[in-house]
Amino acid sequence: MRILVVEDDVDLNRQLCEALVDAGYVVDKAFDGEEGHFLGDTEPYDAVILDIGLPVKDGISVLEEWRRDQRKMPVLILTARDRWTDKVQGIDAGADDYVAKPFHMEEVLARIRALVRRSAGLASSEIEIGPVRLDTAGSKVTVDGMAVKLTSHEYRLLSYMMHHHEKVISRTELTEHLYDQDFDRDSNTIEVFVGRLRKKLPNDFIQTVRGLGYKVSAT
Amino acid sequence: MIFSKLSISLRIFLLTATGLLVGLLITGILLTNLYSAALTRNIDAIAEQQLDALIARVLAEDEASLQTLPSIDPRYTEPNSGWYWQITKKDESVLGVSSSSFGISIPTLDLEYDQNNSRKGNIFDDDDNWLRILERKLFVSDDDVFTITVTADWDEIAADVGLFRQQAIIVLAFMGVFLAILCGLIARLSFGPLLKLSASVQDVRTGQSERVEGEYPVEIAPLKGEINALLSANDQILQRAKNHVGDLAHGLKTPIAVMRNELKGEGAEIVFGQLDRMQAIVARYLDRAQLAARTAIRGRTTDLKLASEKIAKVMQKLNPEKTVSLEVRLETVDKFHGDPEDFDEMLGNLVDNGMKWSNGAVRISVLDHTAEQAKIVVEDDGPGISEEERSTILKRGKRLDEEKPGSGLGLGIVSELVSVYGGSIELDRSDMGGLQVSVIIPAIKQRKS
Repeated sequence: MRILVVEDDVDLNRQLCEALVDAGYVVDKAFDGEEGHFLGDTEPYDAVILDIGLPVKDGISVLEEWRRDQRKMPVLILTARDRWTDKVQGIDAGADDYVAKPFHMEEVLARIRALVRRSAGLASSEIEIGPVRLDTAGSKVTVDGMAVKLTSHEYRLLSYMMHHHEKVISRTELTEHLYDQDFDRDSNTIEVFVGRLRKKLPNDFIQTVRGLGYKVSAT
Repeated sequence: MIFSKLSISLRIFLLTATGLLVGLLITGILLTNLYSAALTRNIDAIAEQQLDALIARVLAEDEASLQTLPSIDPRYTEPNSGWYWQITKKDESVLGVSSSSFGISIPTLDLEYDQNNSRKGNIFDDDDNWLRILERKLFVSDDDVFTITVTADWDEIAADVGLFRQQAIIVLAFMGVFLAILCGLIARLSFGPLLKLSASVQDVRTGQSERVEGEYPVEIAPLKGEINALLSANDQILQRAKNHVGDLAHGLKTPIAVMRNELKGEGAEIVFGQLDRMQAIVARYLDRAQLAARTAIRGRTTDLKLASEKIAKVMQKLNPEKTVSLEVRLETVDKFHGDPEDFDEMLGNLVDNGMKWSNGAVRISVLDHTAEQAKIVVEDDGPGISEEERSTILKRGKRLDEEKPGSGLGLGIVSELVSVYGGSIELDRSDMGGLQVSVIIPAIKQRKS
């Protein structure tokens, strides 16, 4: 899962990124509205954390432009202005949720989880496909009720595929969503990780669709 | 002073009416006098002519010509016509008399003769007829002194002048009334736009409109512009003051967030406590800024239907797995008489609170209550709260369940806002199972513009 953080306060930006990385997300960061807008416009993100009071271009304008250009990723706005009028303005501009400053980091993480899940069309925080159950809140995976130990990389890979189950996911898509923009993208590493993941999961849970990519399905 | 309380229109009417009364009275007197003088000149001319004709005969000293003295106007032959003449000698014997004056004695004027030995004047005769008398003494020789007297009917003139005066009074009175009414109308028409302007300013104050509206004549159109400029300048000053405090308070929130996230290990508890205090101070000053701006609420209004639809839409988006239903039933009122941001804050917090507790459904009803109040009801299908809890939940900062997300200030803020607007808030059990919050707020019916 790849998240974009657009926040001009350097310390807050760092704290958000650290917390997100700790929670198993891949994170890109931007410090002003223009940079943030460009990244959101060109890179595929699973969610965006957007501050409203940004230099160069304010958050509301950035959001409106994304939505006008049919960029539909879920956006969580961070705002110091917590009157309902301000919230309504943000939601009207196309935000999916808001968190008022000063916030508890856990709340931001919980809301991001919910947004990612909702945008994948899932109602519960736990995704269950066949014998495999993924608990997004606790970052835990069980197979037939037995806990499976995964590295953070493996967890991210599985989480993305399970959020988008029954869909064919290309290697490029996986690379885009599992690595930040500075990563040297070599799709072979994906194959290595998929191979390791397969050993920890039931046979045929991750299927290879020749020439197209991978697919996770209940069968 | 009673006068200072009179309307300007009435003052103009009264002053004009008084002026007209005096002016027209003088005009009437003047006209009558002029007419009377003209008539006098006219009959004097006839009498003079007669006088001259008689003098010519007397000077002829011809007995024969004195036998047939002329009457140049037929009225001198008509009996009792008031038009008479007579010639008397020094011994007061009558030398000749007009045929109209048989049996009538012409009264004697009590006036001095002028340098032409003439005198004229008006006098009543024995029968109370008013006569105009012209008289001249003619000294032919020491013994032959003749007095020639010619009269004209002054009653006729007096009646004529009286009739003229009567007609003049009627015509001038009509004119006076017409002019006075005209002045009243002009005053009314002139002050009409001022009254309209005043009504429009009142509309702004009572919230019927946001600006002074309407077309005005050039004399007061600038006043309208100035009033509107004053209104928006006032708005801007308030907005700026509010923004300054807001910027300060909001600016502190990011550093507080950063510190909060960074704290770990020993001593963290103390710093957390201090951060909580800072946060409380920030919140209090934000409230004060809002309140300061609110005390100057002028004619702010909020469309109840549009504003509640907006909140319902946003709430639905924020809580996709729950259902927000909205029912708007308004007839007697359609606008909240207050700031749109305050309305958002009230309904937003009410619905947000309902959302936190509901199992899946929240219902918003926007209804009219009286001709000056609207009623907003927000219900949920959650567990509801007990009687004892109801009294504490409205106090700011109280939270009944620490596990529900949010600051716990929601209903406290609503309760404060409602009291600022002089409304009321009531908690009850909803037929949906959960809590029902009813809020009554001031509202108006916007006049169609």
